[in-house]
Amino acid sequence: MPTDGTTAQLTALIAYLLAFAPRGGGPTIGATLGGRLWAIRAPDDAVYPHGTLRFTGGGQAGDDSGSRKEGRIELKLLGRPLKQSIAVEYAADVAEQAFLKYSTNEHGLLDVRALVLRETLEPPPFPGDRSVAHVHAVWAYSWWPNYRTQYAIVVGDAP
Amino acid sequence: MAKRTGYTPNAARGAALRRATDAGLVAAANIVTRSVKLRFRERDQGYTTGDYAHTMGGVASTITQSEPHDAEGVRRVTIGTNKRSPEGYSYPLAWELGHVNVAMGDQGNDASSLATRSVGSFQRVETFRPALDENRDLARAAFARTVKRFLRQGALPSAD
Repeated sequence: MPTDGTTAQLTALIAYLLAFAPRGGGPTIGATLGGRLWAIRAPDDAVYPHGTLRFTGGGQAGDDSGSRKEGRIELKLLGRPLKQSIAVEYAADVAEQAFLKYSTNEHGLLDVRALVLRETLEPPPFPGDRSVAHVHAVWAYSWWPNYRTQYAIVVGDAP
Repeated sequence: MAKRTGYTPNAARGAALRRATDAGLVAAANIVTRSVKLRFRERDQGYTTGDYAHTMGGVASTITQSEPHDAEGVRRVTIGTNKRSPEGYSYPLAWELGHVNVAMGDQGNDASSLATRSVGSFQRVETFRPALDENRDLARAAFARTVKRFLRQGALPSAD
């Protein structure tokens, strides 16, 4: 049984987001961001627009043999100069569609639940960069990772 | 007809439960608020520049906790800060969700870099969310304990 974990899941989600084709047509996130969607954080010299995806606030939940994890998926999209806000808002719109009712069983069953936050941040005053467009979106997830579910108790097989 | 004892009308029960819920929310929020304040006072956990750094105590003294209120269909307490820049901008929000700091940059100042690249470094120090995540169990226990105590203390008024 594959027991690959968080990095594999995050990488798969990034690939899915980049390739998701919106039903109504229009470019993918991959085309909008030039493929620049990274795990956790972007390189310091990253070209805009770009984004990052990461898991936050994970914890054990429920009574499913203790195998279920719940937490948040955080998507951060940055554009510069400010006119790229059109691109990053569009990318966030497509991500909303991609994660709507999304479920995958590639690395253990993962359900993306509600969008819990979508925030367009006002550029901060100096020394913040006033030319950066910044969109922040957070979803809740439930995940039964393979590396946990392999310890689920079955008849005749005590852990 | 014999008078019924131990009977509490639904309205009174509802009111008592609301009072108990509010008390429980305050108890739970106090735990998270305290943790947030401690984080801002402790070295290396607060924001890192200017009067928002832990050494200045800049944010710890501005942490606010609301009264229980209705929002988006649920009863909630909001924990935040009223720290603002002179222009009215919420610097703590920029720190919590991240921002690009031009004063910290060394990415080049030529025209092409300015057009498409960062001229500063991305900075972020999350404080509120980790405080909530780490204290979720403690806060939940405080809520349950307080609600139970309120309901047992005879907070349920009798119709008699």
